[in-house]
Amino acid sequence: MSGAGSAPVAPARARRPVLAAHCVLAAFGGLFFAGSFAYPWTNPEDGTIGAGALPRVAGLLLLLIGLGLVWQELRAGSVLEGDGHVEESVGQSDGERRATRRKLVVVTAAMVVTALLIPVLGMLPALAVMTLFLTAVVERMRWPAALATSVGVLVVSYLLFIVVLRVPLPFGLLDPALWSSP
Amino acid sequence: MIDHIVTGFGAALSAENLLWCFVGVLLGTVIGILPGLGSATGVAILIPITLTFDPLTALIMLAGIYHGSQFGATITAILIATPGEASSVVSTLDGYRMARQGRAGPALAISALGAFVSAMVSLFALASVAPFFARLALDFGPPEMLAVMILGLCTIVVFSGRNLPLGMGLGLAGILIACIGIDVGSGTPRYTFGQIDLFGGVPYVEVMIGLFAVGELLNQLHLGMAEPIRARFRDLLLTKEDIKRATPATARGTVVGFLLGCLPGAGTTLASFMAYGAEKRFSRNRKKLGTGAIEGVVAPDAATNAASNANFVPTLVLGVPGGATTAVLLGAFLIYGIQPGPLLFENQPTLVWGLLASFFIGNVILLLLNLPLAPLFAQLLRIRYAILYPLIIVTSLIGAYSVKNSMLSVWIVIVFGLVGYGMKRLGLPVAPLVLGLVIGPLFEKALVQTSALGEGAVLPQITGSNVALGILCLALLLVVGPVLVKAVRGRDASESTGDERVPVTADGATDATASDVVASAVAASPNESSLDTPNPDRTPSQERQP
Repeated sequence: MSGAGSAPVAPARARRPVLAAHCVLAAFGGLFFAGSFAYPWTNPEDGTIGAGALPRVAGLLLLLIGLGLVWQELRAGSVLEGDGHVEESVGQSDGERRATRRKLVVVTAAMVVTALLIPVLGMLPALAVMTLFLTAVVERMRWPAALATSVGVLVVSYLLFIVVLRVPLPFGLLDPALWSSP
Repeated sequence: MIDHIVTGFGAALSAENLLWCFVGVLLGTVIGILPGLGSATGVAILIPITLTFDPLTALIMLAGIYHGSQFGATITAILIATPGEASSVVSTLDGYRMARQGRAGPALAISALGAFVSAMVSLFALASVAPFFARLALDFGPPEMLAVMILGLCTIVVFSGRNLPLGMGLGLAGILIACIGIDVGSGTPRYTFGQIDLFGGVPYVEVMIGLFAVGELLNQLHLGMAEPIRARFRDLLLTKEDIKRATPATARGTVVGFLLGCLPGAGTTLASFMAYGAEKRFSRNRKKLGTGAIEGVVAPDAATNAASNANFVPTLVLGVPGGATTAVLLGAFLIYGIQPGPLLFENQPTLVWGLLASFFIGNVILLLLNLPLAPLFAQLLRIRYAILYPLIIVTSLIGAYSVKNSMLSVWIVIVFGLVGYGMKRLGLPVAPLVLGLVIGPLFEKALVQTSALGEGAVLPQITGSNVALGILCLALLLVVGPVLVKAVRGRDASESTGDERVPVTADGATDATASDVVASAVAASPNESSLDTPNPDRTPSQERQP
């Protein structure tokens, strides 16, 4: 891989994101290991393996492996992002990269806001609004095309999930049960 | 037996049955395409529709849904890295690479062909030796199942790329995530913080949708959005070379899938992972796996189909469901007044053989439906990504919600989408995490049952079973075999060239081990030590990028 051949490869060094990822793994293991002491190693009634055994062993192992990975990263480093070892956006200027990052944040935020809107608007309308926002605002498609996509999503999803497959999707405030007389 | 087959086809080949088989396969394909809505959910949703049918017609339609959804799940896994079911996760590894290389058509076509061939072989095995395999499955007690699960966990080695400790760490993280929820042994809620929604655990289907579908989507946005792929027509067709390479992989996948499918509870997901692992070990093109190799597509799909047919061995002969979907189908049997068990084949031959014949017919319909449609499905990649990614989000969120009808599922998809994106950016392999998540609960269940059998002692139970010991030897071989082979080859190479350096293969997703990683870190030059943490999903074209 260093034989990426034509591309010059940057020297290995400890990378903050990689270190952070390995620290998260170690912490994850540590938390589960510590939490496992709330559960018994064996069941008091019959002596069989208890609820604490697997998380204790797996948590400890993950803690040790995570620390080992951190040590390895600090010692030997790695060649990762920006070094040709992870697929990178090609031919993007700094401005384009900033725009891409902004888009990533906006799309993620759109998903979070949609999830918050689902109990209010209902699943399908919330997703249709999200589709309209992503296509018209984020991707700057023409409004008729964006509207057509959004309405298409609404209609096809309604027919497929509610009419054919009868999945009980949440209707939010549009739920007829909310408005029907008792 | 020929009489039985003739009886079966006589019963199944009515116009009504053929129609409902077709409807079942078509609906199943649609259900499979939608992430989250797996075959088990699909069959469960549609059972009420079949209540007015004749029992054979109803079962034919439900079986059609079962088979159709298996293939449907692969379609989106290959095209947009969005696996419809857990068993099609492995298809994303090479299938999606093939699609990005403009070879979505062959990937889909070989998937359909491989699935068909394995379905035919496994159906023949099911019809002829079902009682034998059922007895074999009966001999598989908790110690043997524990050994199988350990073997399954050992396939993490295969999916770890060159950094085995990292793969092991991610596998353990998956096992720990699977610990959340009610403990299988004692019924104690673990790590739930009093949240009732978490009592059922963190569902792996939603995690998988997040990691793969949303994670890949965010990754594509990071890369500046994938260009629409306009493949030439001839690139959408299978070549002789494709078929030549796919044949042994299909055979291996079928054997692995059928054997695992016969075991109650082992499931099709484990079969697909282990079939991929087998390819990594035994395929002639194993170095190319992970970069868009056809073997990596066809073997897991063949295994999934073989396992899904083999699941009927314990279901029909013993009345013990082989997997989640066959458990739902078992419920359907009981609704129609059919009592599965050893006497089913004798008491209701028309029904059983009619059902088996319908499996055959369903798979033929599936092939006829999907083989010509493969190039058409591949046209999905021509859609602008600006339109495609909102659609992926929509189907992912609806699919996730429909698994449990819970908003928690939607949040899990979003959170694990971000985790998946981070893992892709850092080159961390996703497959070990999923493997740990899927096998973790099965492993713990087998462990608790084994300890209950031995009144607290696990080891004597395992050492007392020759089958379990044999499986564990296989697991050991899987882990240390490549190290030994590499050590021997390395010694030969260094003897012949006088080169003292650690041999390094060009493929990041090969069978390296912890010792390799440490050795290369110590022995290699700064550039070479970069091999410690590769991106296992990387393709050769990506490696060339500056």
